[in-house]
Amino acid sequence: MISKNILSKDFIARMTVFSDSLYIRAAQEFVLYYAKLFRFSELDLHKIELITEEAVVNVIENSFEKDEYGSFDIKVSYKPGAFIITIEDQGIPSSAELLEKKETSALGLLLMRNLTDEFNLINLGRGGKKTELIKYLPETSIEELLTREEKEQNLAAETAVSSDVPTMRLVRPDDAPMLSRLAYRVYGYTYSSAFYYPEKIKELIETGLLTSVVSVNKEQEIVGNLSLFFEHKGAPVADSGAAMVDPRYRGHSLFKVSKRFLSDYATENNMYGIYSEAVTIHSFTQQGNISLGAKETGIMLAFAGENLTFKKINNDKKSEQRQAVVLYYLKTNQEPQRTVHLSEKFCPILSKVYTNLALDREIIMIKDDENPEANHATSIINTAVKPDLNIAVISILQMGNDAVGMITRQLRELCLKKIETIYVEIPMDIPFAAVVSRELNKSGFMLSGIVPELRNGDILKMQYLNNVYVDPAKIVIASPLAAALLTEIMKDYQ
Amino acid sequence: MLLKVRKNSEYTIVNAPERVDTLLAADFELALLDAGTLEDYNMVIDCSKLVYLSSSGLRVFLLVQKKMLAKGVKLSICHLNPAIQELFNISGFSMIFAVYTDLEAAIAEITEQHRNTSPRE
Repeated sequence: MISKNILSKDFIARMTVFSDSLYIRAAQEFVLYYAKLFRFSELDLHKIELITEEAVVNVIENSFEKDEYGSFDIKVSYKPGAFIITIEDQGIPSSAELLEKKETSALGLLLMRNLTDEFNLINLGRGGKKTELIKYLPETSIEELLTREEKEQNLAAETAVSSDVPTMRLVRPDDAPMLSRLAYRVYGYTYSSAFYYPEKIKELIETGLLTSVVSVNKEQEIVGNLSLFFEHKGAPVADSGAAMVDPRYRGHSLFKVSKRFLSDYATENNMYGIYSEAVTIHSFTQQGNISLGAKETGIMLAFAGENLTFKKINNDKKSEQRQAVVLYYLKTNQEPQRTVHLSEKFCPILSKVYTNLALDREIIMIKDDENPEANHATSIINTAVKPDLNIAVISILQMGNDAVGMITRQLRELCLKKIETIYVEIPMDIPFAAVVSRELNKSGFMLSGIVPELRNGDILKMQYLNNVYVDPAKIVIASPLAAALLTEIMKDYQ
Repeated sequence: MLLKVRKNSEYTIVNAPERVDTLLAADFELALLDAGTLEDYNMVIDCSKLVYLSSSGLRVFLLVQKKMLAKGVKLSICHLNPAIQELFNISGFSMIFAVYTDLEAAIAEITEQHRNTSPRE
């Protein structure tokens, strides 16, 4: 076992080697030694061994001149839920685009992208470059922890109705096993994965990436939950989700009271706001959001798989298509004044969204014949694949003139991996953002919406459907603005 | 690198080693070329012992196939374990190569083709 003290450091271990193939095996053994401590499966260890070779060979072959004995670092580190291998060199600058064109490195790059859960090749300018290979940690599912009696109790609980009124409090790390049991009781096995793994929840709570309001009954059982997910500890906005109410306690307005509790929590903790996604298989969650003052900011089509069911709401029936969600933003404190740049095409509908949000914003429309440039030549993007939902999110962390090319190449690979829906997140603080959205729209990305204050500013969200069928008539919408957004988005659906 | 090689008048069977990584790829390529491309025979690479293959190893398969196709003979691959099969799928090699579940299936296919292409007496 690795102590928490070491896990919280920047890295667990670091190794410096010369750029010579002599060190490939040593690098692999070094990485495997630590990976084994995280109990990866044999198959995952095999992938880790392989991607380490590919990354190291890539540096040896491409970062230094022939016969130049440069050196580079291999680091292994940890973040909640993930094992990270980082290769850092200060050699010749390169980019994924250049490497893809080289016959000797394209195949290795393809394997690294496909055998990791997240892959980043970051050009640090004079600081060299960094290759990040991220593998999600193996998880112990709640199903393995539940006894047969508990499974039977869950079945019995579905038909019982309770009259006692639960109390609410903030979650504690030791609540994690009970939260997993609740997830299983509410969704069976159709919900996104994190909540089925007690250790993962505990870790997220302890590292400040998750907090929840939980509803507790008189037997001290957790019978309701609503969470806030933070991108980093202390982030000024959070994503509200994992709304779960024990079937026995439906009809107690637990969702609404929980949302109010979290809204007060956000206000007291100086957060700008809370965003959330409401399902469209029914309108209850959307109505709940609206009644609390949350405003519609977008629609994510084909977000969740067809098999997401809600016990006692839709009688365990599967949805007939991948489900869309409506994005909401609930303002909890005054945000800073910001300028956002919109393309001519998206400006009319997003201006309506901004007006409804009443944020302190200056909106600048970039006309179709205007072509402002970015401040950087190269972009930094991060791609996160969520296998449980079969979606991917490409986030632009630094906007460079090569952004469109990088995203479309990444899109191609994700499509080959049969990822069904691909979202891209574009910061809107510079005029070039409008050019990127306009060009991505031509490449098949449709509008999705906005997320205010996500990364020191507002984010434009776009979406690409990889041969996914969407019937808008089956999307239940609760408000005129969300309906207008859907109409606008579907104009690009082919 | 020493590879186990079996030959008859229709084909050559080569057993791949356990590991083909960057360090071993060049040797593997030479050994395959020695075994198969000097004669105009079809070749089957039996991968039943192969447990580790990197992109350098994948490229060897590609190079050897290219040389064999130039001579009008075919390279077949059999017995990939699930991890290696995944690499073939990711890289698109499953569509480039004739991949068989076992040696018997690969040989049957070669024999059938040989019969169809041999001049009739």
